[in-house]
Amino acid sequence: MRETLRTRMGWLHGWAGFLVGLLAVCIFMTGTLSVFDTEITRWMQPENQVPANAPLTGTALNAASSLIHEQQVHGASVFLTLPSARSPTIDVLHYDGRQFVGTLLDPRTGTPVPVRATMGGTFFFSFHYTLLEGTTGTRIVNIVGVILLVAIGSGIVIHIRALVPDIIRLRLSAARLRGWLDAHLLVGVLFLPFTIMIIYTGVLVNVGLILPATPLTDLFVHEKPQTIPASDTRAAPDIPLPLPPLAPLLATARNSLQGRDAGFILFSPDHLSIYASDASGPFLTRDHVDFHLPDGHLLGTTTTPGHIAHTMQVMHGLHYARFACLDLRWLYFVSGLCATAMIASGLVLFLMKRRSRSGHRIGFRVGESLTITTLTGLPVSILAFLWCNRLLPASMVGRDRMEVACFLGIWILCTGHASLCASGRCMNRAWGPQLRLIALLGGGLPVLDILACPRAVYNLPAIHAAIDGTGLLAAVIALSVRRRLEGDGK
Amino acid sequence: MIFFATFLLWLLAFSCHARLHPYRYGFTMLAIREQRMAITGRIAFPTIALALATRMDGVTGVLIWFASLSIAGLCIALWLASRRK
Repeated sequence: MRETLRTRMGWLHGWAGFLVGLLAVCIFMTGTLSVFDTEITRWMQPENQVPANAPLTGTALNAASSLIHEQQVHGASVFLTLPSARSPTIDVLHYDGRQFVGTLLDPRTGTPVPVRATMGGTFFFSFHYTLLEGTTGTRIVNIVGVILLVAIGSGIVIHIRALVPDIIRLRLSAARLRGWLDAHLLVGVLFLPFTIMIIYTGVLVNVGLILPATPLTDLFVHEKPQTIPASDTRAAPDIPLPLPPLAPLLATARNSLQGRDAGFILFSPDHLSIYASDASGPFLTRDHVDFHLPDGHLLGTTTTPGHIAHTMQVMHGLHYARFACLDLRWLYFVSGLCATAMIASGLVLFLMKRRSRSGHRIGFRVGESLTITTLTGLPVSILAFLWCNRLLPASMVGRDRMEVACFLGIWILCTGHASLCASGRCMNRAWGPQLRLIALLGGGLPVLDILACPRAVYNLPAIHAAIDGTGLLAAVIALSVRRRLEGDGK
Repeated sequence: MIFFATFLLWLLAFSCHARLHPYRYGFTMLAIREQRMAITGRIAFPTIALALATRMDGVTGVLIWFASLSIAGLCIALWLASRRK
């Protein structure tokens, strides 16, 4: 009976894991990079050399107020993000339909910091949870998350007897299949708490999209346009009201939010709302303090009480890790890399087990070309995206779109290359060139960075060392995998 | 700092674990008394690490405890694999 259960779970684990694993690798890889999205944006905007923890002055806040009022007069719906340990500038932003864009101000003087247009680290963040497909993409990501949890559950059932005794077992000298299986189990079991936590909280963040709280019957009722009672309507002023000085409001908001720092400010026609920073604790709240416009008197504080709300806040906080200090963010990053490696090794194992029996089938070759596209094509496109940021002229119009076009174009080329090799049945040859490309682009990234932006490297050495070092790490991994593949081929 | 302390404690716990499974990890059999000590270490070291981590900060401490488990396990596994190669 137990063997039957294990066999069935093996089938479920293999197929569910492979089918969603291809997308899961993309989601995990970009999610891992999103841990440092703000830092990547800073790397991609080398003109922004404002030092971390630069003091925020009243002059800078007044300059931001003037800019906001000016943009509101022109009809733009703007908001303001305040400086933090990770992003030292005051950002006056608006949504352009694809991303948040706007002006960065120096927190010491209030002067605009001219930076190049780039998608920055937010590109990886958007890719991670939308797959660049908006709400549909988010639904797909959520469904992938649920199936991954099923795959993990079935994997635990298969391996339950050896789960604890074999927890640190790795046999590199054993047969190739055994070695890959050991690596998959080792990373899978050791990083199981992180993997389950990150998938579960990730599913919960947007669970409303796949499991709406409204009764199913409501989904079939046609929505009627809401009619607002005439007595409730308040005519918004045509010309936006001038903003009061923000510095005293921030001090009041800090007191009202029990000492938590302010993160961002939203503006309405007749009031403004100062929100608590996401970095102020593991509970990711939307607690805010409202002030009347134009005089700036306190209207009230909005918090979300209740156990369910607090549970959801901590789930959001754990997933986004915005409260995490630098050390903890590195631990998230390393754990994310290992979780990606666990899924990637699972994909390779699935193919290795079936190669002798089904290697000639077209379905197998499509599966293998998709695996190559995911495991090597995606890192190539990510590195190409970073290279593009340095190679495209800083003042080029639409350069942010060009970066994305380059990312997608290179990925399509990698897919084409893997598919061509699959049609010629020389699949092993597909891995080599793409791994070499990762090594070339990753290894060349520090050189390119130093040559293109020497001042930024000098002024912000930690950020540049970390991102260039990650490129180097990718190059080293690609070269060692390639050498292993060559060794197997001989 | 907390990470390195919990990491070290997890390394010790995994070392005890490896010594308790001599055939799996290529060690000689332990005497009964040493086995008892290894069992105690396998339970005590993670418990001390958890107490240390949670004393610093609840949620962050638990996250660091799990992360140090994973990374210490990986380090020990790589060391054991290279030893048996």
